Amino acid sequence: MFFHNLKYNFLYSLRARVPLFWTLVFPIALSTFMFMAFGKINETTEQFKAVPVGIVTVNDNAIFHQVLDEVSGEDGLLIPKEMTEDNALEALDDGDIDGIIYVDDKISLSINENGIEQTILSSFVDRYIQTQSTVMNILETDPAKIQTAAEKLTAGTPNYRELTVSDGNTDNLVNYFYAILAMSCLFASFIGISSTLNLQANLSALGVRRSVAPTHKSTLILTSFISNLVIQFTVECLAFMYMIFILGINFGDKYPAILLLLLIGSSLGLSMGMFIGSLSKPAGEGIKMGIGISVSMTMSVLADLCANGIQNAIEHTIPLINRINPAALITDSFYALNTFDNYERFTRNMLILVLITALLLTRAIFMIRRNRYASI
Amino acid sequence: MQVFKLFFKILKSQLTQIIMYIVIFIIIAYIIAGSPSAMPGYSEQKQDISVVDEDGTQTSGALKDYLLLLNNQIELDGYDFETIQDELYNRNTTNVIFIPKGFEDAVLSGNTGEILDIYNIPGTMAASVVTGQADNFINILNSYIAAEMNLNDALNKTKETLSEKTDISFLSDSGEAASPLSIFLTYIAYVFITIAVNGVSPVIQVFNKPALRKRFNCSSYKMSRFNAGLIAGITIFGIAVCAIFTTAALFTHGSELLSVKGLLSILNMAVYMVVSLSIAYLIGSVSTNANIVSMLSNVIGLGFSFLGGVFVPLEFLGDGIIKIAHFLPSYWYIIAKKSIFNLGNGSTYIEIMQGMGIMLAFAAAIFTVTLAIIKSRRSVA
Repeated sequence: MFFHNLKYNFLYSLRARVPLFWTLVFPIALSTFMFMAFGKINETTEQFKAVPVGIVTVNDNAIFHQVLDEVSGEDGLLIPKEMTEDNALEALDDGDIDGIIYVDDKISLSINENGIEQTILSSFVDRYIQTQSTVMNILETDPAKIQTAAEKLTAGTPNYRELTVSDGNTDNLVNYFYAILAMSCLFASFIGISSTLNLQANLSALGVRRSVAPTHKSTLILTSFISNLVIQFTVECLAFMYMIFILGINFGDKYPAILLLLLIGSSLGLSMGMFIGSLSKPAGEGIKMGIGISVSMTMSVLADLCANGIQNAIEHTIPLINRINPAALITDSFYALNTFDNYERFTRNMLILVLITALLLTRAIFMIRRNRYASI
Repeated sequence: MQVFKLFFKILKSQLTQIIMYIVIFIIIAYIIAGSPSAMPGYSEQKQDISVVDEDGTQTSGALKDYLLLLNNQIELDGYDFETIQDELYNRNTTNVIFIPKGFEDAVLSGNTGEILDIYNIPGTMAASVVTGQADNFINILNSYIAAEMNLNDALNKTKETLSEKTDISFLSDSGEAASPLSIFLTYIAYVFITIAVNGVSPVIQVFNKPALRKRFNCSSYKMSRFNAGLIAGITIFGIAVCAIFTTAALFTHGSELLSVKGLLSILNMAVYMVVSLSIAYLIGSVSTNANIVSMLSNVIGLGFSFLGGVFVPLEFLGDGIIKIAHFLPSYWYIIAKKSIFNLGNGSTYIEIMQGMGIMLAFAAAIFTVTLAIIKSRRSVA
């Protein structure tokens, strides 16, 4: 009887096209759109790339040109282009260069925007002026020391060590993809709701039919949960594989832990759906689905689905929300796996997720089992 | 009149959802309107950094003061490995700089190689700017110390030297990006499609129910009057939504809207509404249940917005995406909107009209396809 029920529950869940759309097609479509739109944004706005600058020489300055040569090149700071003033102004207007450096007795800069590229240009020219000024100051006070002092100005070794705290993905736009998977896990609640409605005699005709059957409620509940979990987990894995292999998103390499996360995430979504479905009021599939969508979406939005930074803002104001919001726990687990070498944070999140799942599931089972109806 | 009245009777069932979209959008629009816009003229872009002075000496203090003159200090809850990683990842801080104990002694002995520990996201612009600033300070101070100045004089001279700045002239900038009205109008491209599809498509679905359709066909009610009633209903719905958003824009960005740019923007908005309604009409005609409407409205609304330059500015989209975007009406809406805000600053009326014309062509094409589908279905029936 167990396998018979398992088979038919499995077929039912597989043919429920609407939940499958929301848990599989929608996350794939959303991640594709986001990937296409955000794919190059950090590369464009955040990553360092040499700043193109127009050089207009009014009076030749050999030292400045020598410095320019030193900082230009493939991995250099600037891409200088010698230009006439008219050409430079036109290029600046067209956005081909970020600024114009006028080489005269005094070096000056023209820009038309406020941005980090312009800050790099002004810092570069400032540094030149300040270095020149330092040399002049030392020449004025003690010319004999100029050789030693100048060596310090152009010290080969930098005065700092650049350290990183993680070898994982530091591009925080990957948060959107974590949040899509979290949303997809919570959307498992849709199939959880409809399956649970089909178990209750006071909520569906099928429930009436199944209640009079001699099969144990526990068998019905268990087979329904297992078949839904298998399908949801498969769906999550497909969405995850799409993001990794087709879109090339960097989720790190702790795949067994990620699969465990997706499994627990799907169980949580299902349990949430079973809990909502088991409530005697409000009755009706429509309103229960409405509750399922609202709860899942609210949780996902708070976990950065729509705008990056919401989860971070919550962490700095009411961190408790992030500790109990399943979507935030799922995204944080992805982040922890991709960033840290240890599993401490991931394990903590997993334990909370399992606890929430157990609470929801137990409550749902107690509401479904052993019901007697005087009239329906 | 009967069909017209019936249209709004059915629409009533979608009202809660439509009102929800409008209210959420307008709240967001108010928040955007309240955010400060860019100031004219040049100012060095300050980075958010966290400086930890473990040395606590005059020299380390001077370095910290200098870095915080050019950047903003962000105090972290802790300076442990995990907190630093979280804060860097979330871009709450771009560089965490540790000035270690013994920094002053290192400066005095001229041995400052790799003295600072700077945690940052490698390869970013922000990392490059801040490390450069710290390095410059120490190099200049080192050279004064090497010239046998005493520490006090060297620090004063360093401060004086670092206050020397380049002459910067700020040439005119196109103000398009800074305008809150422009941002408001950008997001309308998403909201209009969602509202139109969720509002109009379910009504069209009801009218297309086979039994109801047959009942209409065998009644004495003329088909032309039926279509006129339906078109009037859709038009009034479109005008009402445009009016609500124009009023909202008037409250949030009043002065900017009451100008040639503002009026052209309203026209652009109305043209985009025509496209949105044609899409809603198509979806309502080809789909048979509410679930499909909800699926399509999400996929089309988000797809048009992500790929058409609504959620992410066109400048940040790759060349391939821009080519695909040419086939989306949302792209032409954004192009027309950009041209309106750059009018007199490189854009012409022709570009605006071109954008609107292409949108209307999209609407006509979608409408024609819908009619063809309806006709083929009727001939089958």
